[in-house]
Amino acid sequence: MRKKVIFACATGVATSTFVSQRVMQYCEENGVPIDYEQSNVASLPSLDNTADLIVATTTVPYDLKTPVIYGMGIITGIDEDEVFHEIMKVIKEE
Amino acid sequence: MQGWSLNVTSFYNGLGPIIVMPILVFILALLFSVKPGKAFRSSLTVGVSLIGIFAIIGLLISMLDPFVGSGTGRHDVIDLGWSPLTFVTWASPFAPIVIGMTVLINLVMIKFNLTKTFNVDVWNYWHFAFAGILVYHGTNSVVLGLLAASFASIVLLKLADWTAPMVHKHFNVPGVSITTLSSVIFFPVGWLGNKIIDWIPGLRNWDLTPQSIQKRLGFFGEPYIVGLLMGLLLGIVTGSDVKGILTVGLTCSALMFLMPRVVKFLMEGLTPITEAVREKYKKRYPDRKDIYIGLDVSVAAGNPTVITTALILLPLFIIVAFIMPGNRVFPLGDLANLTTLIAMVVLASKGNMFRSLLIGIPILIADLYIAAQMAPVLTNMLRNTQVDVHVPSDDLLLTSALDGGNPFRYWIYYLFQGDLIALSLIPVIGLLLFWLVKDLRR
Repeated sequence: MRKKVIFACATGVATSTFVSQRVMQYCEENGVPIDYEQSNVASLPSLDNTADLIVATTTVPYDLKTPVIYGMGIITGIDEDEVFHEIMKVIKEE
Repeated sequence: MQGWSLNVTSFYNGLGPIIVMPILVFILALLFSVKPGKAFRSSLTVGVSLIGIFAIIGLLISMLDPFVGSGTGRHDVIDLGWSPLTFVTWASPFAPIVIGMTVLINLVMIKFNLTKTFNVDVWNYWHFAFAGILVYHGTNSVVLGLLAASFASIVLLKLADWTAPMVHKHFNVPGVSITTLSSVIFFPVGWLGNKIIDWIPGLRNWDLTPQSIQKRLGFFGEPYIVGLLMGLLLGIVTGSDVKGILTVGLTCSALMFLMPRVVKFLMEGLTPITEAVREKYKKRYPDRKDIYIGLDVSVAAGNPTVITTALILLPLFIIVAFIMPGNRVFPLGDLANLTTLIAMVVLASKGNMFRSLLIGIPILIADLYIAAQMAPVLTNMLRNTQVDVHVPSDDLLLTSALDGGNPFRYWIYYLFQGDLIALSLIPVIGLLLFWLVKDLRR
């Protein structure tokens, strides 16, 4: 089963698209393709438990059951590899 | 120059923006050293997105027109959110030119130590391009349009510089500055509002805490539910029957749900160019810790105070739209974008939610009136994109309540037409910013 990731940003349009593109590419290159969806941050509470992971380009001010990774590094390039590794760790989990 | 602009226009109108745009994006991507295959794919994605946006706008208009355009309601200006504005922008040759120009201006300004920000948020360059398009529309001059776009991009770099230390501290994003026009221009407003509140005894001590309110207003965070509610309301105020009310409700919900899913392909098509600009930044300034990376206001959108303030402003915005005398704008699409509007006001208020709300409401009121005034211009622009689409009857105008009502671009629109009031505001705004910079240094 492919893992599902939600990419979230202010509107679910701009920065989350950029991050989703890069993460999708990274996952495919590493042989673990994923399914994904994009969302605005404020919709996250209602999307909780509908995916395996949330990658957000902002802080997520909610207590969610789905694990959340802060993905800003993929945009700034600061500690980018760490963010990718963290995402991979969740996606490769059985 | 006039001849050149005429040639561009006729070439452009000859083929139509949906054909020209992907070609321009392809050329632009090549100029940014994107590989031809990738450049081709991204330009095609941009074209596909434009068609998608147009299809949705057309569909919505044709579904809303019989109800809203019947002229029964006083809210005859519908807020479709900022998507139609990005559409108009990307369907104009200004956009790719402004992208190249913005990067160039930025590099020159860093070289001469005029800014500390490298704005890698290519997506939001459309804000500058749109300012240029407005001025072009008002003056018929390509040169003035490009000057206006440059002016907007320079102002935003400066505002990003000035606000960066506060952004680092309060939003916890070191090394980042925020360059989103639709957000950052409200920082000076928020700052001035705070100065005024500081003088008012009693009021200046008030604050609200976000936690308790957030849970109760949760559904306001889901755009398609907001769309449904607003649609039902729109159906009711235009005096439709039950079938009409439900149709308008579902149509408005569809707008909120579908639009982001189509607009995102525009961003997807721009990703290689964004990557190229980012690489340029990394290569040019590898160890320059003193240079901020200019990003989208998204980095602040998840701040609890920002998100809660936006959720509270949403119903207030609707109320204000109904009680303000003479308001014609029916807020809808941009109700999903209040975090962008308020984020920098929250920052200027140092996280004080009460103050952010107090300052946010007059901003929203101003936006409504400006949006109504700009609506004929925006509606005409949509008509003039030369694509065959269902255009609204004359009774229905389209706008974007926040981005169409943006006071900064409104000012630029009149400034570059030589409007006396706009010109006389230069010293006022100048003094205000001078005071702001002095205050921020302290």
